[in-house]
Amino acid sequence: MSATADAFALPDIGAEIERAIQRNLKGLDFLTSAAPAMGQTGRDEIHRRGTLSLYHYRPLVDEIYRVPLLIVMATTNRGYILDLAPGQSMVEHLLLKGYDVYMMDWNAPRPQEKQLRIEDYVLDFIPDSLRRVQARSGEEDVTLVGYCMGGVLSTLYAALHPDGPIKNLALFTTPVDFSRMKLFHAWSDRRYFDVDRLIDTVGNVPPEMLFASFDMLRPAGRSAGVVQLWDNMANDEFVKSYRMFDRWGAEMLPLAGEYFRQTVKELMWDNKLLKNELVLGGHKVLLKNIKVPVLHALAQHDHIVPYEAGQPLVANIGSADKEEVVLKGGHVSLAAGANAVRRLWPKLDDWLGVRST
Amino acid sequence: MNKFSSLDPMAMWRELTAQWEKSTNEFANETMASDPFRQGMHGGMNASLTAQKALGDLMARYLTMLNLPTRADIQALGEQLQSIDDHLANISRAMESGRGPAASATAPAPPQPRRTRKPPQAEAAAPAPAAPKRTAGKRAR
Repeated sequence: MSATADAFALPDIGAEIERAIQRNLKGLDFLTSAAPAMGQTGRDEIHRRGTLSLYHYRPLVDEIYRVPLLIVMATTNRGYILDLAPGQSMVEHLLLKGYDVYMMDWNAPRPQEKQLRIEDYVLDFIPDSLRRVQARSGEEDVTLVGYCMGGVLSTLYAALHPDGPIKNLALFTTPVDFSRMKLFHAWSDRRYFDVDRLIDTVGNVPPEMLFASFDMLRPAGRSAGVVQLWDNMANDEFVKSYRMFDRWGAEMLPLAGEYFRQTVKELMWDNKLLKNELVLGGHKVLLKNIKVPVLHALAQHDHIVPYEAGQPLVANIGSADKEEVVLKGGHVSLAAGANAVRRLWPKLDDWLGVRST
Repeated sequence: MNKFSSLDPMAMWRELTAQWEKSTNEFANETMASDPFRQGMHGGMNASLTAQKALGDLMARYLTMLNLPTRADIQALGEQLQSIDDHLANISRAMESGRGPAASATAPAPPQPRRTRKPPQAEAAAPAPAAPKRTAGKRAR
C-alpha cells in the first residue's frame, strides 16, 4: 500500500472496539488490585543508623568479581527504583553478572536528624559504610556507584579521599554546575527564597514540598501520563511499569533541614562545588583530586539534571581513566525500566567488569 | 504532509496529547522561571510559614495550659522509642551474627561465592598486581 493510502487508511473498527472493551476490563482490574511488589531481590540489612540503612544483596552466582560495589542512593528517594521487579532490576542484573552489591539506602530522617549536614553524609555515613563493606567482603577496594545526589555525595567523598579505598567511581546523572539546573536554580533565587525561615520553621523539609517541586518541572506530565495509561490499559507490562514508577515517584523522603540549607546556600546559590570552594570538615573539595577511574552516565532528556549541569564533572576531575556517556532516556529511565535494561546496564557492566578484578 | 499517519481517532488523540504536554510544559517552564512567578511563589510560601509558626505556637500554649502533651513532647517520646528500637535491632543483629557457628551445626551456611570472576573479554589477561592496603578514613570534622 502506498504512503498516501496509508495516511488515509480507515481504522480497524473491530480492533478498536476490542481494545476499548479490554481497556475497560483492565481499568477495573487496575482500580481494584494492589500495586506490584517492588524491591524483592534478597538482601540483608547489615547496618542501620537513623536515616541510613546499609544493605547487602545476596549473591546469585557462584563466582563473583573481587571488588564489591557500594551504591549510594539519592537522598530524596527510596532505593528500590534500582530494584523494581525481577527482570527490571539493576541490582538483580548486577548480581547475575557477578557483582557483590551493597546499597546505602535512606530512611526518612527523624526530627532530631534535622541537624545532619553534608559533612555527616560524606565524612561519616559513607566511610562508615565503606568500612562495613570492607569488613564483610574481606576486600580493601570498593567501587562507589552514586545516583543523582548520591552521586554528588560520592563525588565529594572521592575528592576528599584520593588515597582510597575507592577503586572506581560510577555516577549517574550527577550535577556539578548547579547554576545550570534551570528551574531549580530559578526557584531558589536568593532574593526571594528565605531558606533559613523555611528550615527554622519546618525542621526537615517535608516530602510533599519536594514532590511538588519535582512535579512542577513538568506540570503537564502527570495528566499526560494518566491519558497514556488509559490508552495502554490493555498492555499489562505498561500498566505494571506505570504503577511501579508512579508509586516510587510519589514516595519521596523528607530531607534533613541543615543538609537542605547547605545544599541551597553552598551548591545552588554559590555553586561552590564547581568553583572548588566547597569546604567540608576543614578540607577543600577539589574535583581534580579524583584520580580513580570514573564513568559518568547522563540522560539525553533529563529535566532534573540537564546535561550542562553534569557535563563539567568529567571535564574537571583528575582521573586519567574517565568516560562520560550520554544515553537516551530521562532522569529515572536512565537507571531503571526497559530503557535502562538496553542501554545503561550493559554499559555499566562492560565498564565495571574490567575494573573489578 | 498530513500530521497524523492515519484516520485512527486514537492515534490522533495520542498525537494531540503529546503535543499538548510538550507545549504546556514549555509554556509553564517559561512562566515559572520568570521573576514575578518566583516572587509570588516565595511570597506565598513565606505567608504559609508565618501562619504555620503562629498556629503551632498558639496550639502549644493551649495544650500546655490544658496539661496535654504538645507536638514537641510527642516527638521527644517518639525519639526515645526509636532509640530503644535501634538498640534492640543492634542487639538482634549482634546475636544473629554471633550465632553463626552454632547455627551451622544444624543448618550449614550457604557456601560463599568465589571472588575470582574475570570479565569475559579479559579471561586471558594476566592478574593485576596487589594494591597497597587502604582503609576508609574518617576525616576529623
